[in-house]
Amino acid sequence: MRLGPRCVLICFAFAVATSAQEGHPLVGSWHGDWGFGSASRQDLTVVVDYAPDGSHVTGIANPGYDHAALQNIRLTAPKPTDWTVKFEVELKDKSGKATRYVAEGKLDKIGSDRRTLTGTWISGSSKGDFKLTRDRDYSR
Amino acid sequence: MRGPTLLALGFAVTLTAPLVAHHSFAAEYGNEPANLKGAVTKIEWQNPHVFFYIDVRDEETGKVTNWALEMGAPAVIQRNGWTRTTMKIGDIVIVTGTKAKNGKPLANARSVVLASTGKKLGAGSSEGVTP
Repeated sequence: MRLGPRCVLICFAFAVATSAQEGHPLVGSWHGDWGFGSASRQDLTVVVDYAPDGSHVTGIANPGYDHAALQNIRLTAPKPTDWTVKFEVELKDKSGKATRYVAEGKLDKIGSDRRTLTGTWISGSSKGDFKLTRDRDYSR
Repeated sequence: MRGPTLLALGFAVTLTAPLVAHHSFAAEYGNEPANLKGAVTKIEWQNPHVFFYIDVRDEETGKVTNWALEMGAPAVIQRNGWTRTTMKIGDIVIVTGTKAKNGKPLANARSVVLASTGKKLGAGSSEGVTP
């Protein structure tokens, strides 16, 4: 009968650990928008997942017919509170012409499943901004 | 008596999370049909129910809404022909089902058609099953 309290503690520890398991901070589905200031915005979806061998993460923008692979994804954290993400992507416009964008953003609310990634992008002489929020799971 | 009581409490704690997510169809979904087409953005292959998410674009405004779609238990939909690789991120799917009562972009999927192949798959929905 002395096993009871220990059992409770073990069960509780497992329950907490599984719900807090998040893995790589970029992995997940992200929704938001991008554009020039507040006047010209377009919806943006980004999905990041582990590569099949688990060695790195891969991602796509706007899954579906017009999807584009994220390239050169780099996540750096010089300080525990300072997470920077860089990636490149080639998005097609309505005419089908591909344009390369280089994006750099900052991860905030890193401890939340609704963490955010905000930053800027550059394409040639054009500059703009983007904001993404990681999706929450309905099933949790 | 203290030991068995605590043991029971321990089991209750560990079972709480899955039980919260397990609910009847009638409790969450109403009568409004859902007919959606979009690209898959996330798949959660887990008990008690499989969820997947699609981006649905409003053709008039261009606005994208991410819908959460609930299917049956993994074991049930596997019997309907699903595997973990049946649907992948980016696949275009056509979903029929029933919208949630709370007005959120959430629906119970009754059938899923893969647009690339036209293959129709049952979703193991609990719709029509007595709660």
